[in-house]
Amino acid sequence: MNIPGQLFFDGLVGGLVYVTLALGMVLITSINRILFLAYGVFYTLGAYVVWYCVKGLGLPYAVAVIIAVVAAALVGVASHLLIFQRLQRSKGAFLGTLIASLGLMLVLNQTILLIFGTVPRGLEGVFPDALKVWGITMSPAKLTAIGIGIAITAVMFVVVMKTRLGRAMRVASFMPEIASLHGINSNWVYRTTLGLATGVAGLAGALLAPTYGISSGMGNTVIWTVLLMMMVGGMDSMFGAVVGGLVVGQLLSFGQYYVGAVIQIVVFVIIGIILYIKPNGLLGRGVDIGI
Amino acid sequence: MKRTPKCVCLLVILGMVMAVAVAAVGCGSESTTTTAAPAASITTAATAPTETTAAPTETTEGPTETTTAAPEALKVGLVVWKGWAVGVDVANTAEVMAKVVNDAGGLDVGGTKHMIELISYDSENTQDGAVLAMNRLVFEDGVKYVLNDSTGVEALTAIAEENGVILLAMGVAPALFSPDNRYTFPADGSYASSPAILGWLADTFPDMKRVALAYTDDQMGHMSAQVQTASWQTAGFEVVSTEFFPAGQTDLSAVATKVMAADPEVVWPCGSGPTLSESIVKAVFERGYEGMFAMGNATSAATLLTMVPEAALANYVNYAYDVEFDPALSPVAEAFKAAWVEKNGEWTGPEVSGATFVSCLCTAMQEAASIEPDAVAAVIGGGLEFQSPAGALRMTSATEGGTWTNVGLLAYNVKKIEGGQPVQQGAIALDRMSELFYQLVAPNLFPQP
Repeated sequence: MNIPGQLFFDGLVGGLVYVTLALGMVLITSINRILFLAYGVFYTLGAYVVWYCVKGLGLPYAVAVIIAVVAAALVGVASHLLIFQRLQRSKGAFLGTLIASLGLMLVLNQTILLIFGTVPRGLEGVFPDALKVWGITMSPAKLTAIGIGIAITAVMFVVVMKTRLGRAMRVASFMPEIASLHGINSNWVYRTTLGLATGVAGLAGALLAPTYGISSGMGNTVIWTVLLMMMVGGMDSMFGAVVGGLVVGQLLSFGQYYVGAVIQIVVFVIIGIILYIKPNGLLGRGVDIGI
Repeated sequence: MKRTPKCVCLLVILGMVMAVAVAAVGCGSESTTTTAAPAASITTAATAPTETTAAPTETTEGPTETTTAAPEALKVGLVVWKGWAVGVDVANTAEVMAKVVNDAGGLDVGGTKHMIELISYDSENTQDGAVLAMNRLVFEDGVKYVLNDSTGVEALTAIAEENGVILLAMGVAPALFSPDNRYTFPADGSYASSPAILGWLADTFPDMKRVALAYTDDQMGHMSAQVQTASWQTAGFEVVSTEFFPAGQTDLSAVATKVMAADPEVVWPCGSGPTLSESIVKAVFERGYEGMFAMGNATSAATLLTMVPEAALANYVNYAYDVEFDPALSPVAEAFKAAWVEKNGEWTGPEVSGATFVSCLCTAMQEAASIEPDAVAAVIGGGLEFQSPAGALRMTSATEGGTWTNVGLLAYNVKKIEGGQPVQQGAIALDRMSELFYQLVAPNLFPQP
């Protein structure tokens, strides 16, 4: 077994998964100006929807993934319409949206538990057996996750930087009042951003369900790692989310092997040092979320 | 300030609202539902009291006597965390077991029928939440028996002992095992699970020596590691690797790499949540591991196979409750399983400790011929043996010179997976279970003077 190679491969998979999630979270934080703690639940939702579509409805896995993405996006859009649209415009919007996202997280978590029960789920047999290359075991599920992670990252960059939607997002983020003067509907932009980000979270959950299994609390642990990555890379920097994700992924992989569970403490110490030197993260500019 | 008519009207309305509120609070004695913190729910397994017939009182054991008196309500409280699968399962299995008893005509104690009424509050996985729930049960609802899923158990033990309330709880908190406890009993039988498998492996595979252990990096994981490492070594095995990983971590690739590097013959995964043990099995199997997987947790075959390919389980052993097999291995297990399937549509392999606790209480009350906590506690603490959906249990205490109180030991079955179904591979009788427990676990789990 090629241990360093195996650790690097596993770290790359984990890192890209977290990059995918962190990109969505960065979008919400920098454009909607919401610290969206409920984000991890959409990861869980995507996993459960894909499980139900494959096991309950007998649909092909690829179709189930698409449905999972759409379902997560729709719930995200609905949450903006019903909860955040009004709160974003109120006085003390940061605290209000933070508490609302916490409440949403609790409600969705419990709803998932009630609907799907306590038994953990899994999707066995979705992918063929693992390959072994240069002493490194590479499961097709993880290779797929790498490919899609890279693709999603590229697509997100193109959408935000090169499209009209992306320009509208950036204008609405920096100058919402000016945006409306230019005919940009800020509410529509925020809603679309939330839908896009939650759809990406659902996609990550759907892709990783066959590898890591499905349980009602899976999103709650993921959200904290995502927040760590955002702090490392910068809360408002997409490129920073990529860097942060890849760095933390490798740290956790090599660290778990050589140091053990205490790696979590080591990661926090490293993040503390980074933030001490660069308070906005490695590549962040410092987003004003209106505290 | 001059009062305006509008102001006076508002004051009158406010006064009327307050009067109604005070009247409602004063009149509401035993409320059946509440939304005040902690989130509370009352699950009443009892039906409306009816005239009894000659039907058996319950499916566990004990004499059946007919009586024409209306059944009395027997309140049993639950303090569980509804935010994790174990807590939900404890509540749900207790409810189903209570229904089995009630549907059979109720629990006959000393000639009086009792219908079990469950009152459940959420511990919220905090000491404060657990204390609030317990106080509510004891002082507002008048409950004398409480079941707990290990959340907040340290605080609950203190309240139970101080107020003479019987507490049946899970977990490994030291407070559960204090020799001063009179009313607190860790009665779910889980302390016997690892010695059962260790002893069976040592007896059945005497040449298998190298074991790799993996635990979650939390209090329960470290306590389990400490006890089980010593148990494995006492049983004659060499522990070649002990890995800890953060609780809730789903990517266990690095852990699997470390385990494989140690070249074990047996891998013993111990996740805190229901998912993590299976995740370790899957991750290690994907690395090409071909040795044995041994587990000491209550993972059903159905749950395991949703996560792990069957090929990984060619060399797998775990303990199994009576209820897991088809057909179940005892009448009480069969009755419980049938009731569970009727309620949920399918057998989902829940953690059945809630049902075990209800069985313990029912048997103890019938043997004591009383529902008074002192009498029931004396029976439980006196070496009670009872049948539950999990299997046969015996309450056992420290030998002379020991410093710990009664724990429940379960007579486990050993299972393997064949054709996607659990198959009984062996069984450990209660007497042998006691031997293994005293030999492998008790010296390491409980402080000796």
